[in-house]
Parts: sequence; C-alpha cells; structure tokens
Amino acid sequence: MNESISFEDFLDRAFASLRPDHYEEHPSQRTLIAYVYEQIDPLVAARISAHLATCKECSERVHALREERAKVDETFARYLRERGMVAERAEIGGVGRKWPRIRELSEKVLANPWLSSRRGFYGHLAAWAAASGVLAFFLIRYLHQPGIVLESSENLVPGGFIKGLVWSLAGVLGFWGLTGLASHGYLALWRSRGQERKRPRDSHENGDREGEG
Amino acid sequence: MTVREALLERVLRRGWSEGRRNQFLKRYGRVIRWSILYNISMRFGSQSLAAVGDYLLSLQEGQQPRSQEGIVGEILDLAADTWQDVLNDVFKEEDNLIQKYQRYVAKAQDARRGFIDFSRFLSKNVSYKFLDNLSKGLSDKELLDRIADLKRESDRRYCIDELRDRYREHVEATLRSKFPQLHQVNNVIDYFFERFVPESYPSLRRAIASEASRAKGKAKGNLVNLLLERFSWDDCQKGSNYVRQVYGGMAMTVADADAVEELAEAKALKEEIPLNDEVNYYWDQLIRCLEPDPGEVERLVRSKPNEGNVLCWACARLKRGFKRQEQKENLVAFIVFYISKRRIAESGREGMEELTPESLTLERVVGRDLRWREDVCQGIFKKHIRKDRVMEQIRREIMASDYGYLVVEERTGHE
Repeated sequence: MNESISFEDFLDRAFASLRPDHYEEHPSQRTLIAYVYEQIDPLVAARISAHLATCKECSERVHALREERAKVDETFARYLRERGMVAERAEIGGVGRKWPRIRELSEKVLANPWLSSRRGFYGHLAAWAAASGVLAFFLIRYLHQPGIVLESSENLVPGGFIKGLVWSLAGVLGFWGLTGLASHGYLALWRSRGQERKRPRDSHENGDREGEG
Repeated sequence: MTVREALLERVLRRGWSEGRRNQFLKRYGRVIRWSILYNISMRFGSQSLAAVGDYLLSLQEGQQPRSQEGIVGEILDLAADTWQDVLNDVFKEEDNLIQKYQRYVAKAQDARRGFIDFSRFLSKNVSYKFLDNLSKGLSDKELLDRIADLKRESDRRYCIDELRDRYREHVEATLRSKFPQLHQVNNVIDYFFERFVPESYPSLRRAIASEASRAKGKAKGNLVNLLLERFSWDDCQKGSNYVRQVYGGMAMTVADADAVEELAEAKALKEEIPLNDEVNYYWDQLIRCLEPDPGEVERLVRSKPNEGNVLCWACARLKRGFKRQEQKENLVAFIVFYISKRRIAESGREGMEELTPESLTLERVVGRDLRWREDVCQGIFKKHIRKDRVMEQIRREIMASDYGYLVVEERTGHE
C-alpha cells in the first residue's frame, strides 16, 4: 500500500515513470519520419513522443532526422525564394491589387538603405521630429503675436508670415541636413569597423526562414 | 462558428492583404514545406531527401551538382510546382483554402464530430496537391499500376481521377458506340473508372501488358482500350446505379473516407508503439494542445493507483475543467517544469531547439532542467505565473478525490 506523504514528495515520485528504458521493439523509420515532419495524427504523435522520452535509441534517431530536416528545409526554402515562388500578386486582393502605385512607391521608399537600417531610420525620425518642432516654433512665433487672438485676419502681419515661412523652411532644411550628415557619418564609421549592418530581412525571407518549432 | 485562429479569422473577415499574406507565410510556410519534403521522402524513398538536400546545397554554392541530376531535378520541379499550387489555392480571393476550412469546420460542428486543426488540414491538402502533380507526370501504365498496387485509398483516388481526366471522353464515346441502348452513361463511366478498372486490372495486368506491347504505337490509350474491350453489358447494368465517389484535386479536401482511413491507420500505429508506462502518453497530451479524457486516465488510476497516475488524472480533470486559456497555460507550465527535471541521459540536452507553447512535447521537454522564472515563465510563456497557486489547485483536486490518502501535509507512517 502507498504511504501518505507531503505534496512535494508526492510530486517527486509522480514523474518517476520518466526514466530511460530498454525496449525490445521500436517504431518504424517511416513512422519516425512522419513524426519529425509533423504529418501524423496528434494522438499517435503523443504516443511516439512518450516512447521517445524514455528510449535513448529512438531519441537519437529522431535527433538525426531533425538535423537532416533542418538542412534540407533551409536549402529548400532558399531555393523557393530564389525562384520567386510566391503566389502571383495579380491573384491577391487587398492593397497590392487596388493601389499598385502606392505599393510600388512604399516598396521603393522602404528599400532605401537609410530607412531599412535601424540607425538610418532613427536618424530620419529624429530629423523629422526636430524639423517639425522648428516649424511649429516659427509659425507660433511669427503668426501668433502675444495678446492677439490668432483667428482674426487683422492680426496676421503679411511680412511676419513670409518671414516665418522662410525661417521655418530654413529650419527644416538645416535640421534635416545636419541630422542626415550626422547619422550618415555614424553609419560610415560603423561600416568601416567591419560590422554587419542590421537590415530588416525581407518579409518572405522571414517567413521562409523561420526556425523549427 | 470559429476556426480558432486569429489570422484565419481576419482573412475570412477582410480578405487577403500584403501583411496578412506575409503573416501566413511566416506561420504556415514551414508546414507546407515540411509536408512537401515528407511526401518526397515517402514517394521516392528516404534517401531522396538527402539527395535533394545535397543537390540544392551544391546549386546554392555555385558548384556542379554531384547527385543524379535528372531525377533530383524532376523531384524539385514537382516540389516547386506543389508549393506554388498550394499558395495559389490559399491566396486566391474566392473559394480559397481558408474558406474551405471554414466550411469543413462548420460541417463537422453540425455533425457534432471533431475536426482537425488548420495545420493538419493544410498538410493534407499539400499531400493532395503533391499527388495530383505527381500523377499528372505518369504514363498510363504507371497510373494503372498505381491504381492496382497503392495501399492508401487517398493515393489511389488521385490516380483514378487522373486516368478519368485523360480518358473520360474516349470512354464515353466507346461505350455509346458499343452499347447504343445504354442509359445513365455518367454513372457507368464512374463505375468503369472507380470499380471496374481497380478490380479488373490486377488480374489482367500480364495479359494486357503483352497485348499492349504487341499493339505498341498503334493508338494512344491502348491499355484503356483493352480494358474497355473487357467491359461487358453486365458491367454496364451493374454501373447504371453507381454513385461517383472519387473527386479530384482540392474539391475533395478532407473527405470522410480519409478520416476513416486515418483513424484506422492511427489505431494501428498506436498499437505499434511500445511504452513502458502508459501515463507518459497522457503527460504528453497534457502539455500539448490536447485535453485527455479524465475518464480514460481514471481507468489507469484504478488499475494502478500510484502517485504519477493520480497526479496525471488530477491534471487532466483540471485542464478539462478550466474555462480560461490562461489557467490551462499555467497548469501546462507547472507540468513542463516538473517534467524537465527528470534526467533521462548522462549528458544534458543543450543545443536543442527553442521551446514555445505550441511546440511543447514530452520528448522535447524531458531532461531540459528548466528554471521556473527564467525558462518557463519568461522564456516559454512570456508571463508571470504563480506556481504555488497551481500546486494548490492540484492538491485540492487530489484531496477532494478518493485518492486524497496519497497526499497529506505530514508523514503519517509506513506500512
């Protein structure tokens, strides 16, 4: 009869069934291949998995099959990508079909190395943020005189407006150029150190290269 | 009706977009590729995969391929065609594979029977496409041989369907001229391809092959003509009420016949796989996305009321009883943690693939020696989990059962 024990001890004993064991018979190679490629009924897979957890011999066979699968799958995925084996875009709905020009344009913009590298992207983001700040400052400074209500057309001084616009544009261009130069210089320095640029991979590539589960 | 997958639900509601297409490839691209590779291995032998791998590697390294270029090239064309066909079926606007899956789930729910998840559904359709493409490249004799020899009903169906595609009109014209009084000609044609050919060809194979070789080159479809010559008026009468059972290509998807066949295969396979302890089979189900039947586990407990069986039974009851997915995940996390502590080999299991909630299986987890906070909570489930709370739930479940005597706070003695 079983003795009554604390819950911690109980848990320790509960998983005693998971121990290496010797088996006279093993699943066939065909069954193990189906298991490794996940082409098998989940309940059968559960039984195979339970066998593998306690059978060193089969576990090693499955390990070898997984290594082969990883190798072939990687080369196969690359082969499909290189052949451009993705469904015809014309057959696909959504933005791609309805707005081809917008899609092409966005693809061109995103293909720009400045945007496709993380540092380049943040450089641009900083430039835009700074330029927008300058624009807002000059517009408020020259268009909104203290104590005067902005909505009234009488309060808008023509000279002030043109001056504000010119300063704003100059500010935008100046900041754009400076931050651009700075981030460009940083990138050049970074490249010269021989480090690999971190560029987001193509989305199909991401999908096809996804590792094993 | 639900297809239990957020991405698929979005596609059903809003259709395909560039982003959803990419998400699909990221999530299911591997399922399609593995299914293709598996079919290559099954149909061309397990060595074929290694040959394909070597061939692709040498192609990508810009070297002259070492292996048998012709055969491997053909296999690769078949694989690439299957990949393209499946994606075309998935991404088309009308009647795509997601919509077919939705209909399949609805039908299964109406009939109050279980249904397979989308990955399995996709895998099956990849296999159908692969076989479809494979049968297109076969000669008449190869097709007939396969109809006669193939063990799997689903494989045979593809060859029958391909033969019908090639010779339907010819068979119809021949039957009409041979039997002018014939009615229900469509039924008879279906009977000819689906019953007469598979039943008659094996016994007539040798005679037909020698006749065909004598008549070589005279007319296309010699073998089918020879079979037609043996098709009698009695056969026509037998076929007049025949209902077509073989449908080609994607129209078939997951047919009932497949389900029956797969069930029989699964049963045979389950019996083939030896286990030292039945409870491990249920542990695996518990950490997968499955919910084992507590009644089934209880039968195990009654025959052998030890700690492992009782704990497994309590976990099965809890997993079934929990309403929220979060609670189920917490329970799985707890089981994974304890299972990983069992050492099954001398060496550690370093270098194994990363674990995710979807990839958890007993053999992947056992012996990994996972840490609770870093590996289980943060690594696999990406959330904070109260282990003590899960333990308390399990303890209460056991204490409230007939097996509570196995667990008390202090030792009460030995016998």
